[in-house]
Amino acid sequence: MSAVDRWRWSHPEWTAIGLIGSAWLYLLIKNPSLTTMNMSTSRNPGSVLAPWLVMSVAMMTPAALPTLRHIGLSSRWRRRQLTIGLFVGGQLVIWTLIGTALIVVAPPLREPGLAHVSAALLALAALWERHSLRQRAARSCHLLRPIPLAGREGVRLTASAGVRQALWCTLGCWPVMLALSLGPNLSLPLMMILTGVVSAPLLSRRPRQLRGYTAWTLLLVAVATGVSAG
Amino acid sequence: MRLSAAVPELTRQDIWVLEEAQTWHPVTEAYALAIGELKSRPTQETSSWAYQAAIHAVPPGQHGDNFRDQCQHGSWFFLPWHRMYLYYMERLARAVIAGRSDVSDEVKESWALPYWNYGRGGKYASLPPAFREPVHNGAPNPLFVRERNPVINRGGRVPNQAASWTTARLKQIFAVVATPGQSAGFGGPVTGWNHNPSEAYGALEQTPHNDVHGYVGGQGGFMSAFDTAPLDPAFWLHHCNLDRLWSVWLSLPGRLDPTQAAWLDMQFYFHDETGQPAVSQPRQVVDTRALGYVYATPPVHAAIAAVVAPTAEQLVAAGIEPIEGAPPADSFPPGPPPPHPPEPVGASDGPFELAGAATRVSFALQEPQSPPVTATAEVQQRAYLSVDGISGSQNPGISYGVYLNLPTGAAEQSNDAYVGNLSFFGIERVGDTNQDHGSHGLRHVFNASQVMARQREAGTWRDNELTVTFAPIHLLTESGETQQQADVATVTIGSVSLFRQ
Repeated sequence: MSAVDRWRWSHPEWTAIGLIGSAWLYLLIKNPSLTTMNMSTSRNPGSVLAPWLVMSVAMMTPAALPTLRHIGLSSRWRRRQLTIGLFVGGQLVIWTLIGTALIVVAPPLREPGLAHVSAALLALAALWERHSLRQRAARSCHLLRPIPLAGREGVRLTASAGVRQALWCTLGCWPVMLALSLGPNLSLPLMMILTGVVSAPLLSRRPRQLRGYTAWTLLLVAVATGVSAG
Repeated sequence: MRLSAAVPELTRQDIWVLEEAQTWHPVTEAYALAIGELKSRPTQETSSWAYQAAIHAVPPGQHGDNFRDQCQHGSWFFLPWHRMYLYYMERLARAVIAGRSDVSDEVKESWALPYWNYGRGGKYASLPPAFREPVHNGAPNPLFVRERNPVINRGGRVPNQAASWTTARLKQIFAVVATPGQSAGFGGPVTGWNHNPSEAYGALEQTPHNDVHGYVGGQGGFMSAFDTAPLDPAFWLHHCNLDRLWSVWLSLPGRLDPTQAAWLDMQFYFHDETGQPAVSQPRQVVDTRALGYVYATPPVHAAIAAVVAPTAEQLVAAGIEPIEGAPPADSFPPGPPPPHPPEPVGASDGPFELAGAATRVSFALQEPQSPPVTATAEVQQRAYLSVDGISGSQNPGISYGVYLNLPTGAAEQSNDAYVGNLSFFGIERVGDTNQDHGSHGLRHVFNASQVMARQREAGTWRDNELTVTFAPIHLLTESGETQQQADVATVTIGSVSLFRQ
């Protein structure tokens, strides 16, 4: 067997990695200047939801990769991708609900005069990063109950595990999510930095030591966003 | 481990060898005096008994820092971190002993932490009387704690099945990358910094480490929980023994410590005996002689080093159970596990409980589906039993032997069915999101390959169904009789599954 095959056997989450890569590629293609991506209020809300979901997959799914690998390797061979798909699907349900709510609530807030709201939210995210509730939410994202190998119960518990993780991730990352959705100008580099901030504690070997760095990163981004907003 | 040419200064000795030579041996006496003084120090002092315990873990709901709440479990850092922990405690105790006017110069010069070799069995699986007398010299005995299993305090013995490191000794590899269904190596799975265990335990941590904690602590005792375990003076002797077994394992053919920088260079923070912060890395502690100590060497170790087959008596004296009918130094199947991951072929339908009685769980098995497993010859295939999602409000104070396809009414401890012990040290941390790397449940993974092979040979293995029996292992009284524990705390098992590789 080839080295690629052996890698895929040990990493069933390769499909999710592909999905994340596709999402970033979409964002790059939609934004060839790599500077801004306007979520203008004048667009059809339905067409805003699609980019929101793509952005959610690109930014939030990386943090779930260890969990996706675990549930994939804990599944029957022929159900691995189904299991991973159910989990990601559960997450997407939450991202869709959040995106829909923001589309309804956010437009009146997306005024040029309130461009500093995004910066303020990022500064709040820096403070939130050090809060014990944020840390508990990040740890709760990791927690996973054993899932049956097959049957309706397996399907239900897998999807609900994805829902559960997305909810905890939302609790942990709500200031960042609000900042991105309310800000008039979204830059791809900013999104990449924030993806790193969101994912790092869950992928790090030493999350406790990392939290100081992620908080400072958010603060610097907040300052830069505020300055660029004028 | 390759021993350096440095001359060791200290020799850690078997506590029972000391106590049989002289009751309340001067080494034991000095240990008690040191603990008494550490207990009297204010909690916030880094040299206090309470602070030393907090280094291991703080109570659930509280937060540690870079120095406290640091113990490594379910990780390849388990052994080196505890070696560092012992090292700094020994230095602290020696500093206290050096200042005592009621300790001889000879003891001050040579004092080292003793170890408890419970694997010798018999009375040696009990704590020496010096640890069980509430009063010594007219004052409370610092070595005695009421927060122990009362049977242990009355001279009860850790059962042989729980005290034995036979399964761990057979492991040929120190660490394996954590993968669902894959049993970890001797020392633990490859992880990052890992306080609350979320992956399978290393073999030595699984048994006898976790088992002895449970039996000595009982339900609610100091030794049974992460944050209180070091408050029992027996903790340090227990971990010295595990530290010693690490050295013994390395003396066996083909055993090596990890060489990855990720293991060697991980930093852990302690305070030395003067209160100064100190940074330690596993690369600094792989050689006990570099730390200034060795363990009193039973003759069997010299025999192993000289590549002379030890006698059964020598093995027993060194705490190594002779294994009949199996290669003494190989695991089964021989060699490292293959690179592809194990595949689950069956699992229990849902959660179930263990409450002190034998429990049997049966579930259907399917044929493997993955190309690498189906391409592996059946005689070369490995089997692993994974017990996941283990939770409960407290350590039940006993372990359960785990058996595959044990006929109803058959004698337990059958080598043709036994795969290992299920123990529960750390169970109170399950679901604790105040700590990093928590889990929804503990996980134990057992190598069932040899049992599967033996049962295939005997015609008792079934490819379409598996029955797993969990049988409680009860404590022994001072006279060696089984002491059945009443009101065993219930633990919940999320699932039990079989993996093939």
